[in-house]
Amino acid sequence: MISRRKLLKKAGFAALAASLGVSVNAKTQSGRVVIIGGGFGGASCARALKALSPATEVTLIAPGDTYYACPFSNLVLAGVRRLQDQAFGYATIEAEGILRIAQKAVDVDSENKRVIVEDGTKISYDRLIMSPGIDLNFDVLPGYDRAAAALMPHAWQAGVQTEMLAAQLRNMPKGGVFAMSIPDNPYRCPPGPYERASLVAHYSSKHNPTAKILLLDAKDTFSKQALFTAAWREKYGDMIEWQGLSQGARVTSVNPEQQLVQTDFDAIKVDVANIIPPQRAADIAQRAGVTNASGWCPINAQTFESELVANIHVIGDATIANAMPKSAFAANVHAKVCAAQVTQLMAGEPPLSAKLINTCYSLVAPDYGISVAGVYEPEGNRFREIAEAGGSSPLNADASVRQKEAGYAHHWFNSITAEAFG
Amino acid sequence: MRDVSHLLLALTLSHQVVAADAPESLAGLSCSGCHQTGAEQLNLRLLSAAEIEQKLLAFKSGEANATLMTRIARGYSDEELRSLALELGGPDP
Repeated sequence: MISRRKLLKKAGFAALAASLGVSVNAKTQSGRVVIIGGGFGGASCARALKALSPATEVTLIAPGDTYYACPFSNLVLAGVRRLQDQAFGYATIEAEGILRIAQKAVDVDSENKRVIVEDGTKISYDRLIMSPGIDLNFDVLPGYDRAAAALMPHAWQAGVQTEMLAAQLRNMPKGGVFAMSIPDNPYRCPPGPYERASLVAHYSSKHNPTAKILLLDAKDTFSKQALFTAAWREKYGDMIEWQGLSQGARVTSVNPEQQLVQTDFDAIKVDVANIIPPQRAADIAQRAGVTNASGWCPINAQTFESELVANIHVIGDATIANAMPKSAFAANVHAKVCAAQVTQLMAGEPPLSAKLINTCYSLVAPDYGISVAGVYEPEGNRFREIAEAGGSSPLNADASVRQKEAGYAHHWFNSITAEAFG
Repeated sequence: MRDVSHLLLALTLSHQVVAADAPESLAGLSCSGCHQTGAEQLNLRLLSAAEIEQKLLAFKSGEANATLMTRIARGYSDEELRSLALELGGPDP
């Protein structure tokens, strides 16, 4: 037997996997695991699983050859990053012996343990890991359907939508109003809307200094609120105006043709409307029967196995398990832990214990970073946040600290995308 | 000392024993998203387990300054930090 530490001395992702407390039985276990979703969760999971258990047949169902990462896509809006820098492919994953099916999963037959893809092919699994991400809920905000998203982009799934919103910002009239509709919790990337507002302000302060950024929020408090609010004042004066639920700011309907946004209180004519609608687990999760009435997927927080359907595990944004937020960081951690637990379970071994970390960096400006972090412990079907740990960056810190955190944000992006996509 | 203890562990366990040659934890998986590439302290493979343990304990006590790691290290017992360091440390210098 090769010792754990000897294996650890090899470089690369496999080394990390080899360093885990996963049993030798588990590491030589064969079987079929199918993974749905080619984002941070699915890609990380496929690679972790193959590294941990080379004999396992790992299939990754991920349509398209390019995945556009959401983290840092707000820098694309700000004109300081190219969309192509957000693009990741599956070449490394395929070279590592993972079978990738470049189609969309359209159904899951959990009774017969099969996934059905677009062309009708049925793919059998022993265990299925779903990392389907979110779908935008086009049924809940009157006026905001798929067609409306072409006029009032959400840009909450990166790619074409990012480019559309960036183009609208570039073409906004001088002194125009950029409005953003922000949903109630839970949704993908809790601090994301506020980072976006910051970076739109960064762009506008250079190119359209009399522009107004109006944030219409369906809640009264938000992630890193004190930090964002102070930084906005410091860097952008009164360019950004945030209004919360109590002020009647919740958006209740939109009219894309007339660029009108209706709130509890007012009808507002805007120049750019960035509508971030409420969200739920992606459709395929509903097809598989792993969502509950909330629209999200309840899981066992230790193994990520669905509370509703056996042999299906769910990771990433689609899950709902109390405190842990929907972030790329969390999806990547879920993915690795789930891969290890599935390896154990398939070998008939008990699941292992793990505390999980989440960290979200936000950029208030390209050289001004802030962060929020948490440490979580699985407890039944929820993650319990460890009270002694976590929290946001300090409110009073000098520019060098903010600059350092901006640098770490970039480092994190490069590191996590290397781990997920190779 | 670390290597000796590990060698002993490996010898004791030999090859018929499974699931016992490592801490029964997956905690280190949370770290690699940030700490697998780059230079200096960001690449944990460039640090020994002893160095990592020392740093983690100093972050936890507040003795060492950091933008983020002080907030993370407080979520773990000293034993958990030691186990993490063993999981993550690179080869001895």
